[in-house]
Amino acid sequence: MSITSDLLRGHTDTIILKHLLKNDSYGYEINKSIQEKTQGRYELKEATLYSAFRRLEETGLISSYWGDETTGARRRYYTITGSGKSVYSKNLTDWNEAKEIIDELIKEECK
Amino acid sequence: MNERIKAHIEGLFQSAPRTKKIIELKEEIMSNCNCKYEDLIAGGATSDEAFKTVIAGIGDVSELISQLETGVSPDAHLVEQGKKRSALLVSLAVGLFILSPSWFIVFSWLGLSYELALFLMFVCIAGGVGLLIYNSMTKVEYNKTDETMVEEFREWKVQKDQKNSLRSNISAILWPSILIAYFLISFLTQAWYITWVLFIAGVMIEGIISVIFDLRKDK
Repeated sequence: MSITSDLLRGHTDTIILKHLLKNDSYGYEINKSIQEKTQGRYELKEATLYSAFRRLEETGLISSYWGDETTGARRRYYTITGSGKSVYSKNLTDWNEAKEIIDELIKEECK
Repeated sequence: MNERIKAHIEGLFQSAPRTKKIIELKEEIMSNCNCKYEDLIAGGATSDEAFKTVIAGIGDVSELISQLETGVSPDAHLVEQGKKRSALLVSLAVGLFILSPSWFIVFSWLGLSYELALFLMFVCIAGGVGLLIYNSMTKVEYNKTDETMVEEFREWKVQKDQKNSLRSNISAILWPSILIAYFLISFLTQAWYITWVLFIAGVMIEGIISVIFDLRKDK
């Protein structure tokens, strides 16, 4: 699992960008959706998630705004920017290429 | 808001500096943790289990805090600049007040009439009062953007500071005015033996102003 989570951690930014493609979202919603998609096998730590948010915001790939919830604590929503979208598709291409190469190199030959 | 989670997160941020970014980060983490907690409870977890799961999911925030520490928020910077400018204006005004009667000394050296000295003194005072008024009107204000405790607290704090600065502005105007009145009345009436009571009156006025401000604070 430790190798898996290390591998996954390298793609935190891309994972977040992907979740913001369809609609704006906030920290917990993104994390919950990650958990659901992986059937509970993977979940980001809050600290990892927020440092990724800050990093992405500083580099201009996402931007944030506070929601105006009438009840309970207010939420900070994130939205993907144009350069965020292009970084996402580049990362996706890179990953597909890396996956193919790794597959070629380490998978067992079919007989 | 679950109190245990709130207390735990407050604890994590205890030693962090209270900058805008960090307070916002804390608020964001709290709101998200709370969502998660409520979800877990709705999913059938006991409050203890839910609390433990939420806390375990937070991870190490100290690195995140130190990441944010380096960046000074523009707001704090603006307030700092405003403070410096305000200090300069007030010092200039007080300087003008103190120097305003010196025209009499200069003119008596030169052997000229006091009328022009009186005029120049009033010009100095008018300039000083103008600076003080300009200063309090252009003070950097904290505009509340969101209805939260944090924002309200900050707004309250800024207002309190402003009230205090109004108080000190009144003092800054009061004493030079008394000095001027002392010279004016003394020169006009030549009753130097008694006009010094003006200073005692000044102390009384100052005391009354203090009482008024204290009463308003209590409300």
